[in-house]
Amino acid sequence: MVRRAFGPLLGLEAAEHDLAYERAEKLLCDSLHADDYECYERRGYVEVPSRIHEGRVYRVDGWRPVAVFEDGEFAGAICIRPRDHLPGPDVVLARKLLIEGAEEEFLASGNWLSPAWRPASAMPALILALVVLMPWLLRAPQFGDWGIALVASIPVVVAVVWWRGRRTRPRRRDEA
Amino acid sequence: MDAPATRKTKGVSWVGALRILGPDGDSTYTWDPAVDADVDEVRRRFDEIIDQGYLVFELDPGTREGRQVRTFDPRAVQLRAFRPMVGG
Repeated sequence: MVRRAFGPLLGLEAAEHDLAYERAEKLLCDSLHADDYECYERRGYVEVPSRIHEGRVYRVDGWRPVAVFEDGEFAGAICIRPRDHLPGPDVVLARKLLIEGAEEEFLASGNWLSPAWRPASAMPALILALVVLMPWLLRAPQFGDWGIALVASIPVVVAVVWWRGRRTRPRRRDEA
Repeated sequence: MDAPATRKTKGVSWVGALRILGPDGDSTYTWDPAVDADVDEVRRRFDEIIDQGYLVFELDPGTREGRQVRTFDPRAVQLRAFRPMVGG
């Protein structure tokens, strides 16, 4: 009862949390190859190559969704978390082991998050930008050839964005 | 970083370790493959957590990559276990 009343004031729970975190970091250090642990210490994540999808690499940290890169391009993210609280380094270890040892289960359990700049998601932003810029665009021909070139370049930019989105679109989970 | 070599018994220079991840850090169970009582105790705990749905992975001593295991092998050196994860 005393602990429940005064524990938060005295920082007992925070101290326990710190101990759990330190213990988890030690376990992660014991469980990773030296190169992977160095990467984790320097950058906060480890990279795990896929065993079933050629060219795919998962970037794993303890607090964000697992980022998925295909042939070096960001393809999306997979949101997966422990059922109960685990210290951050333990989350890194669990995700890494799950990918290495049971990747299909990892893909089936996690939720795909697609990049926000996919054409379907970017279209409302493009329309809004067009509406905002419309008064200037309508006056652009007054500036001669340069103004006309500016207006003509807009469809090109939209086409490039659309093409990049198609090229890096992640595989759907049922295709994985 | 390498596999622990904390004890040395007849012909065996290592002990196995099963580490179960939890909210307060991991729980560790070690065994000496040459000691039957150790092996039986850890095997019992291993079977319990498998029945509870835990996932267990054996670390490769060289690469440290994980391989999922469903039965206890006393020759394993490093095992890690945790509850299945869910989509966020």
